[in-house]
Amino acid sequence: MKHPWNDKSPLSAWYPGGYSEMKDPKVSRTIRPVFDNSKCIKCNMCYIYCPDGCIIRDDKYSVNYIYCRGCGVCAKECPRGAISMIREDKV
Amino acid sequence: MSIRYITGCNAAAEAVRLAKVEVIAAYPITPQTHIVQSISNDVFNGKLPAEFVAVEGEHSAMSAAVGASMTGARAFTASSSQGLAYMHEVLFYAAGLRAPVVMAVANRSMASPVSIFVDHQDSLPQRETGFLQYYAENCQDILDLILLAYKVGEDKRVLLPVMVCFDGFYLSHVSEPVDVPDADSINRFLPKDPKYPYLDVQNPKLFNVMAFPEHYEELSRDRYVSMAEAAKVFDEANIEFEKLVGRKHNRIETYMMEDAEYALVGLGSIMGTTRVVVDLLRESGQKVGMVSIKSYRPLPVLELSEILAKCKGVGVLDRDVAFGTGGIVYQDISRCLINRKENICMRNFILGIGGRDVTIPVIRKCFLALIENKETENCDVYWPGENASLWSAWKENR
Repeated sequence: MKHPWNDKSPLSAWYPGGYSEMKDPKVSRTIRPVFDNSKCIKCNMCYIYCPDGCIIRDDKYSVNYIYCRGCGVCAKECPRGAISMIREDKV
Repeated sequence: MSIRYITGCNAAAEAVRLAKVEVIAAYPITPQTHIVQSISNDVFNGKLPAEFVAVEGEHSAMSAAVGASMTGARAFTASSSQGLAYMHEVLFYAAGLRAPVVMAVANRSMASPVSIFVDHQDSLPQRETGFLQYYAENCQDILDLILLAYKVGEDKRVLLPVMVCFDGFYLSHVSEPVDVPDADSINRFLPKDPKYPYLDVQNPKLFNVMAFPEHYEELSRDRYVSMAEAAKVFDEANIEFEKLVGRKHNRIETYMMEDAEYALVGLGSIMGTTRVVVDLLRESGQKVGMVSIKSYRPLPVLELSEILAKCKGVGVLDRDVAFGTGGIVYQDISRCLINRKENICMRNFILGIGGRDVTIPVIRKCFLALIENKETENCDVYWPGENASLWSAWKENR
Protein backbone atom coordinates (compact mmCIF):
# COMPACT_ATOMS: atom_id res chain seq x y z
CA MET A 1 0.00 0.00 0.00
CA LYS A 2 1.22 3.48 -0.83
CA HIS A 3 2.06 5.57 2.20
CA PRO A 4 -0.61 8.29 2.50
CA TRP A 5 1.93 10.89 3.67
CA ASN A 6 4.19 10.99 0.64
CA ASP A 7 2.11 13.15 -1.67
CA LYS A 8 -0.43 14.91 0.56
CA SER A 9 -0.05 16.74 3.86
CA PRO A 10 -1.57 14.49 6.53
CA LEU A 11 -1.74 17.29 9.20
CA SER A 12 -1.26 14.75 11.97
CA ALA A 13 0.16 11.25 11.75
CA TRP A 14 -2.68 8.97 10.64
CA TYR A 15 -3.37 6.02 8.34
CA PRO A 16 -6.57 5.01 6.58
CA GLY A 17 -8.56 2.41 8.52
CA GLY A 18 -7.55 -1.23 8.16
CA TYR A 19 -3.86 -0.38 7.75
CA SER A 20 -2.69 -3.12 10.12
CA GLU A 21 -4.47 -5.77 8.04
CA MET A 22 -2.39 -4.79 5.02
CA LYS A 23 0.89 -5.46 6.78
CA ASP A 24 2.35 -8.95 7.31
CA PRO A 25 2.18 -9.50 11.08
CA LYS A 26 4.02 -12.85 11.04
CA VAL A 27 7.26 -11.05 11.82
CA SER A 28 6.12 -10.28 15.34
CA ARG A 29 5.19 -13.87 16.24
CA THR A 30 7.54 -16.75 17.04
CA ILE A 31 4.92 -19.25 18.23
CA ARG A 32 1.30 -19.73 17.16
CA PRO A 33 -1.69 -21.42 18.85
CA VAL A 34 -3.09 -24.50 17.08
CA PHE A 35 -6.43 -26.08 18.06
CA ASP A 36 -6.98 -29.78 18.62
CA ASN A 37 -10.73 -29.77 17.99
CA SER A 38 -11.17 -33.32 19.32
CA LYS A 39 -10.31 -32.01 22.82
CA CYS A 40 -12.15 -28.66 22.55
CA ILE A 41 -15.37 -28.39 24.62
CA LYS A 42 -16.24 -24.87 23.37
CA CYS A 43 -16.05 -23.45 26.90
CA ASN A 44 -15.02 -20.03 25.46
CA MET A 45 -12.16 -19.53 27.92
CA CYS A 46 -9.76 -18.81 25.01
CA TYR A 47 -12.28 -16.42 23.48
CA ILE A 48 -12.67 -14.50 26.76
CA TYR A 49 -8.96 -14.29 27.58
CA CYS A 50 -7.53 -13.50 24.12
CA PRO A 51 -6.29 -9.89 24.44
CA ASP A 52 -6.59 -9.24 20.70
CA GLY A 53 -9.96 -10.98 20.08
CA CYS A 54 -8.45 -13.44 17.57
CA ILE A 55 -10.49 -16.57 18.36
CA ILE A 56 -12.91 -17.47 15.56
CA ARG A 57 -15.98 -19.34 16.92
CA ASP A 58 -17.39 -21.33 14.00
CA ASP A 59 -18.44 -25.02 14.11
CA LYS A 60 -14.80 -25.66 14.92
CA TYR A 61 -12.83 -23.09 16.89
CA SER A 62 -9.81 -21.57 15.15
CA VAL A 63 -7.48 -18.55 15.28
CA ASN A 64 -7.28 -15.46 13.07
CA TYR A 65 -3.54 -15.52 12.33
CA ILE A 66 -3.57 -12.02 10.81
CA TYR A 67 -4.07 -10.51 14.25
CA CYS A 68 -2.69 -13.20 16.59
CA ARG A 69 0.58 -12.07 18.23
CA GLY A 70 1.35 -15.50 19.66
CA CYS A 71 1.17 -14.55 23.32
CA GLY A 72 -0.05 -17.99 24.42
CA VAL A 73 -2.69 -16.85 26.90
CA CYS A 74 -5.32 -19.04 25.17
CA ALA A 75 -3.16 -22.15 25.54
CA LYS A 76 -2.50 -21.35 29.21
CA GLU A 77 -6.20 -20.84 29.98
CA CYS A 78 -7.60 -23.81 28.03
CA PRO A 79 -8.90 -26.31 30.66
CA ARG A 80 -8.56 -29.31 28.30
CA GLY A 81 -5.16 -28.58 26.80
CA ALA A 82 -6.76 -28.33 23.37
CA ILE A 83 -4.46 -25.50 22.26
CA SER A 84 -0.78 -26.04 21.74
CA MET A 85 1.77 -23.40 20.89
CA ILE A 86 3.86 -24.39 17.87
CA ARG A 87 7.01 -22.62 16.68
CA GLU A 88 6.47 -20.70 13.45
CA ASP A 89 9.36 -22.50 11.70
CA LYS A 90 7.85 -25.91 12.62
CA VAL A 91 4.39 -25.10 11.16
CA MET B 1 -25.48 42.85 22.72
CA SER B 2 -25.76 43.67 26.40
CA ILE B 3 -23.45 45.05 29.04
CA ARG B 4 -23.29 42.73 32.03
CA TYR B 5 -21.41 43.00 35.30
CA ILE B 6 -19.65 39.63 35.53
CA THR B 7 -16.40 38.07 36.74
CA GLY B 8 -13.63 36.90 34.44
CA CYS B 9 -14.61 33.27 35.00
CA ASN B 10 -18.22 34.00 34.08
CA ALA B 11 -17.04 35.90 31.00
CA ALA B 12 -15.17 32.76 29.94
CA ALA B 13 -18.28 30.62 30.58
CA GLU B 14 -20.35 33.12 28.60
CA ALA B 15 -17.96 32.73 25.65
CA VAL B 16 -18.31 28.94 25.84
CA ARG B 17 -22.11 29.27 25.70
CA LEU B 18 -21.93 31.66 22.76
CA ALA B 19 -19.52 29.38 20.89
CA LYS B 20 -22.01 26.50 21.32
CA VAL B 21 -19.30 24.16 22.59
CA GLU B 22 -20.39 20.52 22.36
CA VAL B 23 -18.08 18.73 24.80
CA ILE B 24 -16.67 20.13 28.03
CA ALA B 25 -14.27 18.01 30.08
CA ALA B 26 -12.73 19.60 33.13
CA TYR B 27 -11.57 19.05 36.68
CA PRO B 28 -11.95 21.77 39.32
CA ILE B 29 -8.96 23.78 40.51
CA THR B 30 -8.78 27.24 42.06
CA PRO B 31 -9.03 29.88 40.56
CA GLN B 32 -10.55 28.35 37.42
CA THR B 33 -13.41 26.44 39.11
CA HIS B 34 -16.15 29.01 38.44
CA ILE B 35 -15.86 28.56 34.70
CA VAL B 36 -16.77 24.90 34.63
CA GLN B 37 -19.14 25.29 37.57
CA SER B 38 -21.15 27.78 35.55
CA ILE B 39 -21.02 25.65 32.39
CA SER B 40 -22.00 22.45 34.21
CA ASN B 41 -25.02 24.26 35.68
CA ASP B 42 -26.13 25.23 32.20
CA VAL B 43 -25.61 21.74 30.81
CA PHE B 44 -27.57 20.28 33.76
CA ASN B 45 -30.44 22.75 33.30
CA GLY B 46 -30.56 22.10 29.57
CA LYS B 47 -29.56 25.65 28.62
CA LEU B 48 -26.47 24.40 26.79
CA PRO B 49 -26.96 21.28 24.64
CA ALA B 50 -23.53 19.82 25.36
CA GLU B 51 -21.90 16.81 26.95
CA PHE B 52 -20.21 17.56 30.28
CA VAL B 53 -17.60 14.93 31.16
CA ALA B 54 -16.74 14.91 34.87
CA VAL B 55 -13.26 13.42 34.66
CA GLU B 56 -10.97 12.18 37.45
CA GLY B 57 -8.05 14.51 36.74
CA GLU B 58 -6.59 17.07 34.37
CA HIS B 59 -4.65 14.51 32.35
CA SER B 60 -7.99 12.88 31.55
CA ALA B 61 -9.69 16.25 31.03
CA MET B 62 -7.41 17.16 28.15
CA SER B 63 -7.48 13.56 26.84
CA ALA B 64 -11.29 13.66 26.74
CA ALA B 65 -11.28 17.07 25.07
CA VAL B 66 -8.80 15.86 22.43
CA GLY B 67 -10.89 12.72 21.86
CA ALA B 68 -14.03 14.82 21.44
CA SER B 69 -12.24 17.16 19.07
CA MET B 70 -11.08 14.19 17.00
CA THR B 71 -14.73 13.29 16.36
CA GLY B 72 -15.26 16.77 14.93
CA ALA B 73 -16.98 18.17 18.04
CA ARG B 74 -16.13 21.59 19.48
CA ALA B 75 -14.37 20.96 22.80
CA PHE B 76 -13.40 23.06 25.81
CA THR B 77 -11.49 22.57 29.01
CA ALA B 78 -10.01 24.81 31.69
CA SER B 79 -7.29 24.51 34.30
CA SER B 80 -4.69 26.28 36.42
CA SER B 81 -1.28 25.70 37.96
CA GLN B 82 -0.73 22.09 39.08
CA GLY B 83 -3.60 20.92 36.91
CA LEU B 84 -2.02 22.45 33.82
CA ALA B 85 1.30 20.86 34.75
CA TYR B 86 -0.45 17.50 35.11
CA MET B 87 -1.93 18.03 31.62
CA HIS B 88 1.47 18.80 30.13
CA GLU B 89 1.90 15.48 28.32
CA VAL B 90 -1.51 15.63 26.65
CA LEU B 91 -0.92 19.23 25.48
CA PHE B 92 1.61 17.83 22.99
CA TYR B 93 -0.96 15.26 21.84
CA ALA B 94 -3.56 17.97 21.24
CA ALA B 95 -1.14 19.97 19.11
CA GLY B 96 0.31 16.93 17.33
CA LEU B 97 -3.15 15.56 16.50
CA ARG B 98 -4.11 19.05 15.30
CA ALA B 99 -7.17 19.02 17.55
CA PRO B 100 -8.44 22.62 17.85
CA VAL B 101 -9.32 22.38 21.55
CA VAL B 102 -9.66 25.71 23.34
CA MET B 103 -8.74 25.89 27.00
CA ALA B 104 -8.97 28.66 29.55
CA VAL B 105 -6.10 29.02 32.00
CA ALA B 106 -6.62 31.12 35.11
CA ASN B 107 -2.97 31.80 35.93
CA ARG B 108 -1.76 30.67 39.34
CA SER B 109 1.73 30.14 40.72
CA MET B 110 3.27 26.68 40.97
CA ALA B 111 3.90 24.76 44.18
CA SER B 112 6.05 24.42 46.19
CA PRO B 113 5.34 26.46 48.35
CA VAL B 114 1.64 26.10 47.74
CA SER B 115 0.00 29.31 46.58
CA ILE B 116 -3.31 29.94 44.90
CA PHE B 117 -2.38 33.45 43.73
CA VAL B 118 -1.39 34.69 40.33
CA ASP B 119 1.83 34.54 38.42
CA HIS B 120 2.53 33.19 34.93
CA GLN B 121 4.74 30.32 36.03
CA ASP B 122 2.07 27.77 35.03
CA SER B 123 1.18 28.75 31.47
CA LEU B 124 4.44 30.29 30.20
CA PRO B 125 6.42 27.04 30.57
CA GLN B 126 3.74 25.42 28.33
CA ARG B 127 4.52 27.83 25.48
CA GLU B 128 6.52 25.25 23.50
CA THR B 129 3.80 22.59 23.38
CA GLY B 130 2.33 23.78 20.07
CA PHE B 131 -0.58 25.59 21.71
CA LEU B 132 -1.41 29.12 20.65
CA GLN B 133 -1.32 31.34 23.73
CA TYR B 134 -3.40 34.47 24.18
CA TYR B 135 -3.17 36.64 27.31
CA ALA B 136 -6.10 38.75 28.45
CA GLU B 137 -5.70 42.15 30.07
CA ASN B 138 -9.29 42.50 31.33
CA CYS B 139 -12.55 40.53 31.55
CA GLN B 140 -13.75 41.73 28.15
CA ASP B 141 -10.57 40.32 26.58
CA ILE B 142 -11.31 36.90 28.12
CA LEU B 143 -14.70 36.65 26.41
CA ASP B 144 -13.49 38.00 23.07
CA LEU B 145 -10.27 35.99 22.99
CA ILE B 146 -12.07 32.68 23.63
CA LEU B 147 -14.40 33.38 20.69
CA LEU B 148 -11.43 34.40 18.53
CA ALA B 149 -9.55 31.31 19.73
CA TYR B 150 -12.18 29.00 18.22
CA LYS B 151 -12.15 31.00 14.99
CA VAL B 152 -8.35 30.89 14.67
CA GLY B 153 -7.80 27.36 16.01
CA GLU B 154 -10.42 25.79 13.72
CA ASP B 155 -9.23 27.58 10.59
CA LYS B 156 -7.88 24.97 8.19
CA ARG B 157 -4.63 26.95 7.77
CA VAL B 158 -4.01 26.68 11.52
CA LEU B 159 -5.71 23.68 13.20
CA LEU B 160 -3.92 24.03 16.49
CA PRO B 161 -5.21 24.11 20.08
CA VAL B 162 -5.42 27.45 21.87
CA MET B 163 -4.83 28.51 25.47
CA VAL B 164 -6.53 31.70 26.65
CA CYS B 165 -4.70 32.79 29.80
CA PHE B 166 -5.83 35.37 32.33
CA ASP B 167 -4.61 36.31 35.79
CA GLY B 168 -6.15 34.34 38.62
CA PHE B 169 -8.22 36.43 41.09
CA TYR B 170 -7.18 39.78 39.50
CA LEU B 171 -9.32 38.82 36.49
CA SER B 172 -10.96 35.49 37.30
CA HIS B 173 -12.72 36.72 40.46
CA VAL B 174 -13.06 40.42 39.72
CA SER B 175 -16.35 41.70 38.29
CA GLU B 176 -16.20 44.17 35.43
CA PRO B 177 -18.76 45.45 32.93
CA VAL B 178 -18.50 43.01 30.01
CA ASP B 179 -20.20 43.53 26.67
CA VAL B 180 -21.74 40.14 25.81
CA PRO B 181 -22.42 39.88 22.06
CA ASP B 182 -25.73 38.49 20.85
CA ALA B 183 -25.97 34.83 19.86
CA ASP B 184 -26.86 35.52 16.22
CA SER B 185 -23.69 37.40 15.36
CA ILE B 186 -21.55 34.76 17.09
CA ASN B 187 -23.38 31.99 15.19
CA ARG B 188 -22.37 33.76 12.00
CA PHE B 189 -18.83 34.31 13.30
CA LEU B 190 -18.32 30.69 14.39
CA PRO B 191 -20.11 28.31 12.01
CA LYS B 192 -19.79 24.64 12.95
CA ASP B 193 -17.89 22.98 10.14
CA PRO B 194 -14.84 20.86 11.04
CA LYS B 195 -12.26 20.98 8.25
CA TYR B 196 -9.74 18.40 9.41
CA PRO B 197 -9.48 14.60 9.27
CA TYR B 198 -11.61 13.34 12.14
CA LEU B 199 -13.01 10.02 13.32
CA ASP B 200 -15.80 8.93 11.03
CA VAL B 201 -17.38 5.45 10.95
CA GLN B 202 -18.06 5.72 7.21
CA ASN B 203 -14.42 6.45 6.47
CA PRO B 204 -12.31 4.86 9.21
CA LYS B 205 -8.88 6.23 10.09
CA LEU B 206 -6.11 5.22 12.47
CA PHE B 207 -4.83 8.27 14.37
CA ASN B 208 -1.74 8.95 16.45
CA VAL B 209 0.42 6.35 14.69
CA MET B 210 4.19 6.23 14.89
CA ALA B 211 6.23 8.56 12.68
CA PHE B 212 9.78 7.61 11.80
CA PRO B 213 12.67 10.04 11.32
CA GLU B 214 11.91 10.51 7.61
CA HIS B 215 8.52 12.08 8.44
CA TYR B 216 8.64 13.42 12.01
CA GLU B 217 10.60 16.58 11.25
CA GLU B 218 8.20 17.65 8.50
CA LEU B 219 5.21 17.04 10.77
CA SER B 220 6.82 19.35 13.34
CA ARG B 221 7.70 21.89 10.68
CA ASP B 222 4.11 21.86 9.43
CA ARG B 223 2.97 22.85 12.93
CA TYR B 224 5.62 25.59 13.01
CA VAL B 225 4.38 27.03 9.70
CA SER B 226 0.75 26.81 10.83
CA MET B 227 1.69 28.74 13.96
CA ALA B 228 3.03 31.54 11.75
CA GLU B 229 -0.18 31.42 9.67
CA ALA B 230 -2.17 31.83 12.90
CA ALA B 231 -0.97 35.45 13.12
CA LYS B 232 -2.48 36.24 9.71
CA VAL B 233 -5.66 34.33 10.53
CA PHE B 234 -6.00 36.22 13.85
CA ASP B 235 -5.90 39.56 12.01
CA GLU B 236 -8.44 38.36 9.43
CA ALA B 237 -10.72 37.02 12.15
CA ASN B 238 -10.54 40.39 13.88
CA ILE B 239 -11.79 42.24 10.81
CA GLU B 240 -14.83 39.96 10.80
CA PHE B 241 -15.19 40.21 14.58
CA GLU B 242 -15.12 43.99 14.41
CA LYS B 243 -17.87 44.00 11.76
CA LEU B 244 -20.13 41.72 13.80
CA VAL B 245 -19.37 42.80 17.37
CA GLY B 246 -17.76 46.22 17.03
CA ARG B 247 -14.54 45.53 18.90
CA LYS B 248 -11.03 44.83 17.66
CA HIS B 249 -8.06 43.10 19.22
CA ASN B 250 -4.47 43.44 18.13
CA ARG B 251 -1.80 40.84 18.66
CA ILE B 252 0.13 43.54 20.50
CA GLU B 253 -1.58 46.51 22.10
CA THR B 254 0.52 49.66 22.23
CA TYR B 255 -0.01 52.75 24.35
CA MET B 256 1.77 56.08 23.75
CA MET B 257 4.40 54.35 21.62
CA GLU B 258 4.44 56.89 18.76
CA ASP B 259 7.26 58.97 20.28
CA ALA B 260 8.23 56.86 23.29
CA GLU B 261 11.90 56.70 24.29
CA TYR B 262 11.42 54.17 27.06
CA ALA B 263 8.94 51.32 26.96
CA LEU B 264 7.78 48.51 29.21
CA VAL B 265 6.66 45.24 27.63
CA GLY B 266 4.64 42.55 29.34
CA LEU B 267 1.45 40.56 29.46
CA GLY B 268 -1.63 40.11 31.60
CA SER B 269 -3.51 42.36 33.99
CA ILE B 270 -0.41 44.32 35.13
CA MET B 271 -0.43 46.13 31.80
CA GLY B 272 -3.54 48.03 32.91
CA THR B 273 -1.53 49.47 35.81
CA THR B 274 1.30 50.23 33.41
CA ARG B 275 -1.03 52.38 31.28
CA VAL B 276 -1.82 54.49 34.36
CA VAL B 277 1.88 54.93 35.13
CA VAL B 278 2.54 55.93 31.51
CA ASP B 279 -0.11 58.66 31.88
CA LEU B 280 1.45 59.86 35.16
CA LEU B 281 4.98 59.99 33.76
CA ARG B 282 3.81 61.69 30.56
CA GLU B 283 2.32 64.43 32.74
CA SER B 284 5.79 65.05 34.17
CA GLY B 285 7.24 65.17 30.67
CA GLN B 286 8.84 61.72 30.39
CA LYS B 287 8.50 60.11 26.96
CA VAL B 288 7.37 56.66 28.00
CA GLY B 289 5.07 54.01 26.53
CA MET B 290 3.97 50.44 26.95
CA VAL B 291 3.40 47.34 24.83
CA SER B 292 1.02 44.62 25.98
CA ILE B 293 1.40 41.27 24.26
CA LYS B 294 -1.95 39.59 23.64
CA SER B 295 -0.77 36.87 21.30
CA TYR B 296 2.26 35.36 23.00
CA ARG B 297 2.26 32.32 20.69
CA PRO B 298 2.61 33.11 17.85
CA LEU B 299 4.81 35.97 19.04
CA PRO B 300 4.54 39.04 16.76
CA VAL B 301 8.34 39.21 16.35
CA LEU B 302 8.47 41.68 13.44
CA GLU B 303 5.87 44.03 14.91
CA LEU B 304 7.60 44.07 18.30
CA SER B 305 10.96 44.56 16.64
CA GLU B 306 9.71 47.55 14.61
CA ILE B 307 8.08 49.26 17.58
CA LEU B 308 10.76 48.61 20.20
CA ALA B 309 13.74 49.43 17.99
CA LYS B 310 12.71 53.10 18.08
CA CYS B 311 13.24 53.20 21.87
CA LYS B 312 16.40 54.00 23.83
CA GLY B 313 15.50 51.58 26.58
CA VAL B 314 13.18 48.58 26.79
CA GLY B 315 12.12 46.99 30.04
CA VAL B 316 10.39 43.62 30.21
CA LEU B 317 7.92 42.91 33.00
CA ASP B 318 8.07 39.25 33.85
CA ARG B 319 5.50 37.74 36.16
CA ASP B 320 7.52 34.53 36.04
CA VAL B 321 11.05 33.36 36.75
CA ALA B 322 13.24 31.44 34.32
CA PHE B 323 15.59 30.05 36.96
CA GLY B 324 19.17 30.48 35.89
CA THR B 325 18.62 33.01 33.11
CA GLY B 326 16.14 35.77 34.02
CA GLY B 327 12.58 35.97 32.77
CA ILE B 328 10.74 33.94 30.13
CA VAL B 329 9.22 36.93 28.30
CA TYR B 330 12.60 38.69 28.46
CA GLN B 331 14.19 35.91 26.41
CA ASP B 332 11.54 36.28 23.75
CA ILE B 333 11.75 40.08 23.60
CA SER B 334 15.56 39.86 23.37
CA ARG B 335 15.05 37.55 20.41
CA CYS B 336 12.94 40.26 18.72
CA LEU B 337 15.72 42.85 19.03
CA ILE B 338 18.66 40.68 18.06
CA ASN B 339 20.49 41.35 14.75
CA ARG B 340 19.45 45.00 14.75
CA LYS B 341 21.87 47.91 14.44
CA GLU B 342 20.28 50.03 17.17
CA ASN B 343 21.92 49.92 20.58
CA ILE B 344 19.00 49.39 22.92
CA CYS B 345 19.40 49.16 26.67
CA MET B 346 17.39 46.17 27.88
CA ARG B 347 16.30 45.52 31.44
CA ASN B 348 14.42 42.64 32.99
CA PHE B 349 11.98 43.26 35.83
CA ILE B 350 10.71 40.24 37.72
CA LEU B 351 7.69 41.22 39.79
CA GLY B 352 4.31 40.14 41.10
CA ILE B 353 5.46 36.58 41.82
CA GLY B 354 3.09 34.40 43.85
CA GLY B 355 0.33 37.01 43.68
CA ARG B 356 2.28 39.96 45.08
CA ASP B 357 0.39 43.11 44.17
CA VAL B 358 1.95 45.13 41.35
CA THR B 359 1.14 48.70 42.25
CA ILE B 360 1.69 52.08 40.58
CA PRO B 361 4.88 52.81 42.64
CA VAL B 362 6.37 49.45 41.57
CA ILE B 363 5.81 50.10 37.86
CA ARG B 364 7.06 53.68 38.32
CA LYS B 365 10.24 52.23 39.87
CA CYS B 366 10.69 50.07 36.76
CA PHE B 367 10.39 53.07 34.45
CA LEU B 368 12.80 55.14 36.54
CA ALA B 369 15.38 52.33 36.65
CA LEU B 370 15.10 52.12 32.87
CA ILE B 371 15.40 55.88 32.34
CA GLU B 372 18.33 56.25 34.76
CA ASN B 373 19.92 53.12 33.28
CA LYS B 374 20.82 51.98 36.77
CA GLU B 375 23.32 49.14 37.04
CA THR B 376 22.69 46.28 39.44
CA GLU B 377 25.14 44.04 41.23
CA ASN B 378 25.75 41.37 38.63
CA CYS B 379 23.15 41.23 35.91
CA ASP B 380 20.27 42.90 34.11
CA VAL B 381 17.58 41.45 36.36
CA TYR B 382 15.72 43.70 38.81
CA TRP B 383 13.21 42.78 41.49
CA PRO B 384 11.32 46.09 41.81
CA GLY B 385 8.58 44.76 44.08
CA GLU B 386 10.95 43.08 46.54
CA ASN B 387 10.25 42.80 50.25
CA ALA B 388 13.63 44.38 50.99
CA SER B 389 13.71 43.92 54.78
CA LEU B 390 12.89 40.21 54.49
CA TRP B 391 15.42 39.67 51.74
CA SER B 392 18.26 41.42 53.58
CA ALA B 393 17.47 39.46 56.75
CA TRP B 394 17.69 36.23 54.74
CA LYS B 395 20.89 37.35 53.06
CA GLU B 396 22.62 37.81 56.42
CA ASN B 397 21.78 34.28 57.48
CA ARG B 398 22.80 32.54 54.28
